Amino acid sequence: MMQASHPPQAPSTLSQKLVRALTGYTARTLLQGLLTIWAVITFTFILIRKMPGNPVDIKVEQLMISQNLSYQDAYNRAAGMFDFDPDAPLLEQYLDYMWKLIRGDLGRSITSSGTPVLDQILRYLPWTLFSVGVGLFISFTVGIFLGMAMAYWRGSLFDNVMTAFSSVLFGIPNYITALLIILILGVQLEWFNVGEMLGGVDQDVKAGFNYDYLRSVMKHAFLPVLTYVSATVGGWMLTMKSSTISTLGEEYVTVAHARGLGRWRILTAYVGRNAMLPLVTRLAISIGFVVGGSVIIESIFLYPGLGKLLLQAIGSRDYTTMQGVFLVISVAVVASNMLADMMYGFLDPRIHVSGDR
Amino acid sequence: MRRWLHLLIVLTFALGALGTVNRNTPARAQEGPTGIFYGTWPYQLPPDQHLNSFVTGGANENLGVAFWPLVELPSAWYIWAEERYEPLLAEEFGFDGEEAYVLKIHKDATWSNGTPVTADDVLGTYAIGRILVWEDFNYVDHLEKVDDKTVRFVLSVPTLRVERLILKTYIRSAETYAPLIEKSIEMFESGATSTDQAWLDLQTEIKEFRPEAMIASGPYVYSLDDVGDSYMTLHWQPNSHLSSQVKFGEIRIWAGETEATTPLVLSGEIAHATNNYPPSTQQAFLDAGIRILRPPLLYGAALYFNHNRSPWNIKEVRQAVAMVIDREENAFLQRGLSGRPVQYMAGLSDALVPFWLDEETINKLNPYTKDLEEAAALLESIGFEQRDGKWYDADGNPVQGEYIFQAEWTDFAASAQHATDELNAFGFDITARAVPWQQQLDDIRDGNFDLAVMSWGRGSPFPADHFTNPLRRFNYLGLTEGRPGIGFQMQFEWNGEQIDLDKMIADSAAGMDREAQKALVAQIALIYNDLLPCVPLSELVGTEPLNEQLLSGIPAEDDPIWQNVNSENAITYLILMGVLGPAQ
Repeated sequence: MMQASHPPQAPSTLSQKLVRALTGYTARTLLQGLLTIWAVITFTFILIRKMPGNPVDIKVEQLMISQNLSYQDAYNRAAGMFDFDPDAPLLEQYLDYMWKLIRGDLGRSITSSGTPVLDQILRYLPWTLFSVGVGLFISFTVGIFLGMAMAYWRGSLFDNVMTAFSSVLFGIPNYITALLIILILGVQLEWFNVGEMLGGVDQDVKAGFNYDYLRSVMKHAFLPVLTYVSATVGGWMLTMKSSTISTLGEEYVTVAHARGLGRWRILTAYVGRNAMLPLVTRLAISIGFVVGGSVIIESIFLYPGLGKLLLQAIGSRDYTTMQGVFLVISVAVVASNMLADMMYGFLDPRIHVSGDR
Repeated sequence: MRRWLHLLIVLTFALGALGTVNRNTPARAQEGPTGIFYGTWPYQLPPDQHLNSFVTGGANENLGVAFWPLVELPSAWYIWAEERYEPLLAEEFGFDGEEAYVLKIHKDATWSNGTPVTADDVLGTYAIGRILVWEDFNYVDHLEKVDDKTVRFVLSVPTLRVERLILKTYIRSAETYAPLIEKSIEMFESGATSTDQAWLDLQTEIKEFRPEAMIASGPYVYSLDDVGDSYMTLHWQPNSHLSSQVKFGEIRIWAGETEATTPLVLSGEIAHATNNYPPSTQQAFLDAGIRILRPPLLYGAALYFNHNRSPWNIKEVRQAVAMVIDREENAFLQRGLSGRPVQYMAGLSDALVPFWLDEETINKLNPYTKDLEEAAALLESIGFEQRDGKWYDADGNPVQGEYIFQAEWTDFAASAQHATDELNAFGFDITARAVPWQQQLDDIRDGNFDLAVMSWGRGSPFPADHFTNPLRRFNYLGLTEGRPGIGFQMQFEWNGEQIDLDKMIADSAAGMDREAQKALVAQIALIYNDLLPCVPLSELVGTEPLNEQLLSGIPAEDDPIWQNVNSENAITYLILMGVLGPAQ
């Protein structure tokens, strides 16, 4: 006699609900994310302290050169300048750092004594989020549209020209683009005043949600965003083209043509949405890395972003600031990966995780 | 809806791009001189930048040697060509025998808040300096207030060097640091030492102190509101005794390092920069009609030997190496016209030689001109031989080694790679290896190298400071225990005499008798020239662009002020003296 199969029953007691919540996909993903962040923190903590030199050593060199001190005199003075003991055991430093981190304290900058790392990050992060975020948005949007068009008209003059163009753009490092923009467009052709375009905002403009301030912010972000878009749009174009070409060969597209649907509707609703799916994951990961900024671009344009702070911290071996920035980047990347996982299931109903019916 | 959002963002950007056509008009000082001086310095942004000039992140770092003197005056400015100090904050100064040094503040020196600069400001500055373990206190026992304007530094160790330390100290306002000054004095009077916890806690308190405002003794002042992303501005203030003579209403300091300032120099937005520019960029400046100042730096690249390894511990091998390398070519490859070959090979800067060595000593110095035949003869005289183009020592071992250089320092890297090529062409087997510069410092100090490129010399008027780099800086004597450094033994027999080179160098800077010091310097120079603990290859000069179209009153090229070392910058001095002004 066959027994009827019983469908899984919804948890009824609180403990059953709790167990289900803790073992569910979301919980597992969160836990995995936390473990990843912890691993990144620990790894970077050890790695950056194994880098040659430390803030005291670097200051010793500066003092010896600038003030003609002996090594011992310079060491004594440098050690007094920083709230950092280079001879403290690594484990002690790590435990001290983790204990503070659990309480939400990112510590204080070593090279800028007394300055909380959180204050530093909050000073620079919004600028990075704005410039790189806008750059990413424009780059992605333009990239997917042009990529789709290249695939739809593949083999045409448009496709050939855009493919070459995107390959060249993608191959040029962003700092070369930045330097070319400044030196050729700014200095030689004088299309803009170089000094006025540097920084994040005009100094004599009052900060606030007013037209002058917003216009100044946009003006100063123009070149960094242009550089970022130039360096990345080629990649989006080529990837979207490739994805679109494979989607165009699907049977449902053929059926859509056979049903007599309009070309634009097919391109957007049938081809575009499906071809974009592989790019969603890449976009989500890119969003995570937006937080890290673009180190060289921000240095060249004197843009006050997190990348500039990180470069400064690396050069001076400001361990706490470096760790703070790496923490922010790793949290952003992990969060964006989690978001990508969840979005994918939402965007493509065919995708689900077992046990989450 | 999405399309409208995209369009809105694009339009906003287009508006922003249109904003490029507007030119900001510079803010004018409300009174006093007008005109803006455009310079550059890699400053930090707040909150990293603050107004405590005793510690990192303050005016000391963020204005640097080029602009800090415009805000907080040192007592005097050294004029190198004339070997004298020009009064700035002080009006009189000098030794009182061998027991003390006396400093008298300028009678009209006034802080930007209108209060006079007094002896209390000097005492306060040094009270905090003692807690921060300043080198001055290696020679100064204590300070005494003579009157409202005069301070007497009672010396524990008489030395001419203390004058330079005292006169180059930037005097801070006692009003700004009043609570810390009181605590510092109490700490010292309690008998505590720099290793006591209470002393260390006070150091932390000093480090974390954040003044709300800058009180300036110089003709310029600023606040943190004047610090922008791309430039910061120093404003003229009327109360300094130098305010009536300066000619600029504002000093605008562009941020950034070489890559950020290069386009600003080329577009005519910087009057003077102190960055180091590569030869190709220097040529671009010259092509654009921008002059390049080349102030002495009194240091350069040297080839370091590990004296604990064979064959570099053999004098004749080191001498041969010196004769193999074309120093003129080597220097040019480092920094173009800003790289000068070392001429005297005496261990002190060529610029100091005429002041410290007599003609007889100079004539005894071996210039080690490139001479491959003589180098070969020298090696053969100690049993080395060349087979199939390669050199072997007396035991039959090939002459080989690794030459480490800093990957990030293009000038020193060029020097090392050129020297490697020359040595290999001669018949050695040298491999050049790039390492991070911080790693290279550790490698040299730990003795983990055969050959290395590192600096020699120092921006100091005292030969002893030149000799100590590297003989103390990278040698076992000056390092912490267990670190051999270059391993050059400082006690040895030379020309039948027992020499303690470390003591000789220390004695050459000690005491007040300049002639006695000169005699010691001459002897050290001859020993250095003979033994070559390192081979000084180049003496570098600055690569400072000066845009004459933005300035007036520029002294003639033969003016002695241009012989000032860049750490006592001629331009800074000319601004303070009211010589330089804006273009007419």
